[in-house]
Amino acid sequence: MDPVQYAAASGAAASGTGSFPVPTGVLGTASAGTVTSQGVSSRPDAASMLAGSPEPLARALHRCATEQLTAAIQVTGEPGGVVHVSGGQVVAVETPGAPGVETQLLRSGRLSESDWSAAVGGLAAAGPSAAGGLGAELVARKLVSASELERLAVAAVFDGAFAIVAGQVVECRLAQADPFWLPAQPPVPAVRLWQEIERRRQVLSARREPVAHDRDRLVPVSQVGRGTAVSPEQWAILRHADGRRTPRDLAFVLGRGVYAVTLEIARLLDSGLVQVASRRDVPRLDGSAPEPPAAPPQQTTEARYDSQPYDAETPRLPRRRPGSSAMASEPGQQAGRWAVRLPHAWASRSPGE
Amino acid sequence: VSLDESLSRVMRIGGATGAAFVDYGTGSALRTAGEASGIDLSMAADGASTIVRAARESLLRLGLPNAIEDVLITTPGRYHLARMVADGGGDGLLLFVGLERPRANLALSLHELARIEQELAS
Repeated sequence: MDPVQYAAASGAAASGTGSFPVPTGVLGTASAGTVTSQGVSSRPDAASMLAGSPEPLARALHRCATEQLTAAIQVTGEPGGVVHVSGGQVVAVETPGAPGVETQLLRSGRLSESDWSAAVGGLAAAGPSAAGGLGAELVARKLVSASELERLAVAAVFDGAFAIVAGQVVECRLAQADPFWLPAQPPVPAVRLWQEIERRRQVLSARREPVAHDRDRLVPVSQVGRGTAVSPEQWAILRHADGRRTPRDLAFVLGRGVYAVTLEIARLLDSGLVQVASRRDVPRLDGSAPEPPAAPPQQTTEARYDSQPYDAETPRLPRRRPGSSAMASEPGQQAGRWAVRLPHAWASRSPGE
Repeated sequence: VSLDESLSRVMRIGGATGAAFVDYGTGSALRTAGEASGIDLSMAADGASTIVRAARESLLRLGLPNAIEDVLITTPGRYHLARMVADGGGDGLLLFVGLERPRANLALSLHELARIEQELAS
């Protein structure tokens, strides 16, 4: 990498000036390292995948990794977000484009709002000296197990970064490290994160029926053929797909990852259980004209799935909150994207501090 | 118990060459151990979730109970084991383990894995 280009921020993790110039581009399209018939052996080495990528976030991650920085990578774009890095490794990703750990715990019904509030209150009462932050508090109250929290945090890092990169990235800036909730501990190496992002792009671009995770509004097909296997995860999607929701919206409703839901929808499309009702009119940052207004959604059939019961449990539909709304990425709603936050002193320390 | 601690216990099982915790819904390897020079564990993770999904779909179509505990793939030299781990919630967690057949005792391994998984959930 060109040392001059990043001179402004060199040697100072928190100087807040390193700006990555703008290779703008649609990143959601088919990726570089393509799958060939040889599959395994032709895969590029994970480390060179990160080091060689021209994408702004890859360059920022690579720089953080090589200089072992502790910083917040602020990504402008659609949906954009913040990638929190500690000692060169990724500890958390905040983005309006994917549900974070908190949203996943609450909306999946895994954790009740009152338990959550009690834990936050308990942490506040313990004061700034509380070790381990909110995660430790949740585990101490036996609301989640340590391992469950760990895997949700790692999965949320993957999913948040995927959502950022699969949208549009205009620019990445290194800024002073910022407090955040529920870090992945141990953190995710930058090389591993980028490898996972590349893998997800390849998987999605190889699907027979491509799905735009932030644009395609889905509607169930009314009749399910006999002998169709529908898993509980798929039923949950079918019952919330109403012709207006995109995969990303469904992920927020269900408290699941955007990539997981998108992939599940690609399978449902393959088996003819859902169809794309219309495409959301997402403003493009590159100034290109938006697609013409979508046709009104096809009549949303009250789908008949008589042969198979819906999962009995009524999913929770907690109130929308600004920090987690799928709509936050729409024009005019940028403010308050990360409104739900602890003051600095309460948030968990970055590892290594 | 952290995932890495669990994995290091898994790696002490006779014949274990590599292990990974896998997010079932995405096929992502969340944590890995071993196989530094052997198979690509992130690829094995993806394969494990694909295979378990295929097995579940097949059981669903047959109308059989589909709460899979594990799927075993046996090749001349190796066992590949994908176990569903009940850790309390979420989308499902898989434990992938690669074992060398000459050094592995399958029954003992399954017993030990069940114990490790139990500790993980508590």
